[in-house]
Amino acid sequence: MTRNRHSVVLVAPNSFARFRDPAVESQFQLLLRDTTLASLHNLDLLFNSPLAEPQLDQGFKEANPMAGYFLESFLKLHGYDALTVFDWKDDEHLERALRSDPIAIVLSTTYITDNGLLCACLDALREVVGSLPIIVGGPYVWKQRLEMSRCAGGNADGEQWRAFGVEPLSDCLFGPNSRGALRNAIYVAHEFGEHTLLRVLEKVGEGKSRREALAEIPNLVLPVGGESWHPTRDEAEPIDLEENYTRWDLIESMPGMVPLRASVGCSYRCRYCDFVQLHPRVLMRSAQSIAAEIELAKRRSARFFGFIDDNIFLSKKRVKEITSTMLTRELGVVWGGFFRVDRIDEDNVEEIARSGCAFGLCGIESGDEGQLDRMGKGCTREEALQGIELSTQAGISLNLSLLIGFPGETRKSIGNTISFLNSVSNQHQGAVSWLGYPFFLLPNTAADSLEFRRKFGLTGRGANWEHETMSADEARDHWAPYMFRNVARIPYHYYAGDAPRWWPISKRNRAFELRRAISLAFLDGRPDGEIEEVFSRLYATIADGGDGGGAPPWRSVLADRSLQPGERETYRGAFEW
Amino acid sequence: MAIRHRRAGRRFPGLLTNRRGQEEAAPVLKGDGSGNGIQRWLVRRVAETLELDPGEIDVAIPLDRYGLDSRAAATLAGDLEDWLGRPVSATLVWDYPTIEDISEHLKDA
Repeated sequence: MTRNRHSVVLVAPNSFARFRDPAVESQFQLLLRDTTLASLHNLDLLFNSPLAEPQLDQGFKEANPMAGYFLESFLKLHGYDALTVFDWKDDEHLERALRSDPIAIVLSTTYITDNGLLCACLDALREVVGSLPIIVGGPYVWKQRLEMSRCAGGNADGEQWRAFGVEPLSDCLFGPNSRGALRNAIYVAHEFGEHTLLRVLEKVGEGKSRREALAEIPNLVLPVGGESWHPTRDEAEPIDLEENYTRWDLIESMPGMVPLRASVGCSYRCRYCDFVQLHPRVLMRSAQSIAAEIELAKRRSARFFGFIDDNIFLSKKRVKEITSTMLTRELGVVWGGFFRVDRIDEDNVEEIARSGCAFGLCGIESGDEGQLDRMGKGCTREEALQGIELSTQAGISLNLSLLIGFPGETRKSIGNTISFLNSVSNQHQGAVSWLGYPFFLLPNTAADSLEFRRKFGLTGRGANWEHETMSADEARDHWAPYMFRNVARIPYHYYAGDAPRWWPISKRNRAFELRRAISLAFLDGRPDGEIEEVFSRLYATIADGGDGGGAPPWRSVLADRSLQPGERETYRGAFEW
Repeated sequence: MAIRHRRAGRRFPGLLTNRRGQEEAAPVLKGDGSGNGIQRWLVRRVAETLELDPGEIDVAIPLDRYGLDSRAAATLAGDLEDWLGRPVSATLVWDYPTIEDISEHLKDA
């Protein structure tokens, strides 16, 4: 059977800057005048580049989500013309893509975390695409479907939840409160969903996008009337991670960093994380399949890869399989991604680095043994410290992320986390940075269970919670700044690519120290003269020949005070809608 | 946002007259692994990647100062590997930050 080749536009946003700025983690980062991050690389460019207008680096702040590439190749393989829009700061890219006369828009929710943000995206899309069907899928939709199931038929036991300040379904996408643009979309609600998407597109291509025509397709949630939702039947999708990966040879425009998936699901049982519920089965790709994907992308000149799951470090055996395959097949690439430092030892670190591993994003979460235990992290403070030391010694740069305010958190446990961070060595080629996130209580996690809530007196949800020893407001407004003030040994995170790797370690550390001093001066509302003095020392450290003076005024380089730490509005965890 | 204006005049004249890529005008043979061949190829490729005139590339200045980020640097190393027909480390530009350093390191290796 032949049919006309339909076009589909995929929207997989790499930034929500147009809706929500600043991000939660940015409250201590300095911004440049154009609001780009003041990474040391960017400062080096401004002070030393021979170009009049050097292109500043966004680091990984606007990395494109894998879903866009995967779906683009998947739809092309299934007979569609697919165009992906990642850069969504304005509508220009979208309007260009719409010239292909698509039958539908497909929105990925990889980076969407609440209904407010989804609603803002849908509103903005609707303005540009008019009455075209918008099909929304991905992890956020799947989470909402799970929440809907959990609350169905009174399973949520409303009274018990209300006692902990939670109204079942009140903030669920598929609850009675979702209105407006949220109700003018077709939702694919499945752990994977791409085969369901094909079935929806087939109908839409036939001009049948009304609820009645779609109701026979499984794994959907469709709006009914003014406030009800209709979930269609559940059906398993065919999954083959070994073969069904992104076909990079079909991708229109290659990313700077190629996102890779080594697995789906997670074998760890961290109590703050919902991955176990989202993906109850852990599916692993073989090292050979991963290498085949890398080789495919290499044919498109890609050399920089980022793993989006941390199961590459599931066990030392798994690390060994992957890194030795990379070496045997002489892939010669740079890679990094989510990283478990407790899987690093003296026997494997050298091979990991030799295989091209250059950076790791490590969820350390706490430097306090009691907190690590309460989180179910499965890693001790000492294991983490040793792994960090070995990795950075081998030249791998690490970002350590910490959770602030998980139940059980106290002044003492935060003190232990600070001392942990201050005991990390900053004397290795691999640089270390840290980032503190206020705890976000996700539905469908072990921490969200009634049992856990009772144990810690935990009430609320999302970014509004309170327990026996801390509240979300205290974590964000007091303890996060407290940590920033007290962690002096290693710098706050600036989304990778911070200091040029060829800088001497002493220069790097000096520049980190001075940049932190400027952040602190802003936080404390210090006078301009004081900021000028520290800024001129930072300039002298970075600029070639800068020790001879001639530093520009800080206001000609950095953003205004209103955009700097202390005055910049802090993201409070949920988008108003 | 450039803020080098006060120093640019005194920093670059020497470099610009002696080391600019545009002076290497001879056509490059594919895979010419000599120091000069690698240097010419790199100047052209970096200029192409960053949408600059080859004459703007100074071989003694670290490539990241032209805005070549770590992802583009790894890609450059891969392209160089393809062109030379022999393995090149993907972290080449981190270890050898200037075109001069790279070509010296790789020449007829």
